[in-house]
Amino acid sequence: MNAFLDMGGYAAFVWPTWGLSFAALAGLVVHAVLERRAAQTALRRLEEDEA
Amino acid sequence: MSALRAIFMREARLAWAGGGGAAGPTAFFLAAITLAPLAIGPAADLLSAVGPGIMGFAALLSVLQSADRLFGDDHGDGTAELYLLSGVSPAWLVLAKVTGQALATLWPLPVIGCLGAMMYGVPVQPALMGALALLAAIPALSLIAGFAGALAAGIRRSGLLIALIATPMMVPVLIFAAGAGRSAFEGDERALANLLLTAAVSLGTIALAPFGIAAAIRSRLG
Amino acid sequence: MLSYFSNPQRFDQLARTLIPIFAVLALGLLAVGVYLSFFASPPDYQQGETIRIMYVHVPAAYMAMALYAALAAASFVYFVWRHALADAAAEVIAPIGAVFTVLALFTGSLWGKPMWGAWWEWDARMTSVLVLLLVYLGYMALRAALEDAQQAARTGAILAMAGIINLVIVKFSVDWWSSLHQPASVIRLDGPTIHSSQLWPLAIMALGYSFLAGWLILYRLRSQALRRRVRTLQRQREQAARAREEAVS
Repeated sequence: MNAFLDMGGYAAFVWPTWGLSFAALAGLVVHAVLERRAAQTALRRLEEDEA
Repeated sequence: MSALRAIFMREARLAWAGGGGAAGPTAFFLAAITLAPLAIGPAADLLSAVGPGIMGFAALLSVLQSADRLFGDDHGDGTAELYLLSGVSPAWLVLAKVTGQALATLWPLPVIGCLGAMMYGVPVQPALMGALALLAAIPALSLIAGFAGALAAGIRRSGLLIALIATPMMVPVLIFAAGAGRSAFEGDERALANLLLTAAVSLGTIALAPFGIAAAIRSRLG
Repeated sequence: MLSYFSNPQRFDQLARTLIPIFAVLALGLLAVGVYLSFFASPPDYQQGETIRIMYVHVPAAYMAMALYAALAAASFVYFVWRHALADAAAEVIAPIGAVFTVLALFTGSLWGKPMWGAWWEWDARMTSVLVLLLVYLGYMALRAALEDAQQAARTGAILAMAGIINLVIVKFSVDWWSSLHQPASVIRLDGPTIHSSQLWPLAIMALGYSFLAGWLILYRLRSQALRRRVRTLQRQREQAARAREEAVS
């Protein structure tokens, strides 16, 4: 297990790369979801005003 | 044809008399090449090695420096609409306009480029090669600046936006123009190839950019 | 096909079926890709364990370029046929592409340090990707600076199309530029041919990235439609309020 985490001595490069990549992908997804929610709330508020 | 000549003369005269002519780009170029050695250090061999590159880089910046004027003023006062209504082919029209402005304001660039390179310790022959390459680069540089300027015309503080849009488009012509001076300095036989590639990029830009500029002007009026 | 999607409701229906499919495919492929990258592929005989950086770096670089191609294609469709959906797609694709470009640069840097001994090498590839990032940023800045939606759409389309012509010439010029000064021979990123045990994780990860990008684009396109409706409603409301005020005075 330790040998796996060590990545042949390149742990300081392999893990940050993967961490950064998945953080960026997750960030894109979270941003997309929040953006949709904000748009939905804004639309609902406008339509409630209408009624 | 006479309409094109009129536009060409108008631009040249406006840039010459109203806009301070070549003073803006010249002053900017001089300031840039004065500051660079102060930042890099006075080591003679280092300065002569970076000299041709700095000349190309500083020339590019001084073209960008005045890029917001050409189409920005037209956008504000309604001249752009009149141009499109005039019946003259818009591509020819913008070509005449950019050429008029470039001839009136950018002619000192090769001269300063040559003198500046020699001040950096570059021998005469490569300095002249660099100046020739700058001359060949001016059509591409000014048309690309014009394209970015037409896209961003009339936007508040458009200078920054124009620089951001134009920078990636100026990459090829910078590489070839600065490369000509650099290769000549290093005694590389590819100096001439670099010069020809600079001219080729300029010719390609002359063929394509006027249509892009015309489309950009139209898109900003819609 | 274009006229088929000019009906916004039809597109919305298609997007609604595709979004969950893309989500499942992206998650599944990425999970398999992680497994293959770490457990089912051997270390490279030259690069050792750092080869595992390739499985996220290359897909990111590929998405950076593929998304710019998509942006230019959408811009072309908008410019010629004036399809609102194509413009919305272009607007949505640009920031996603920019994120993948930044990701490609950082992961490339993290790969370059153990391989070249430097965080950054001015080689043709990294330099072109850096220029690509500038192109994305210029496109987004131009759109953001134009308040009128139609002007932003048309102007952005022209810039995106000019960008693709430019990127082709940049690629050539940067190759030429780096060949003027051949750096000391090191292990090149494109050096040894890829072994099939490395091709599988790479291909699966690249597919996972593609479906994730597809999901993001479709999902954000639906939010975009909502946002555009909010804006129209707000404008209507403002106009109504102004009309009322004028009637009173």
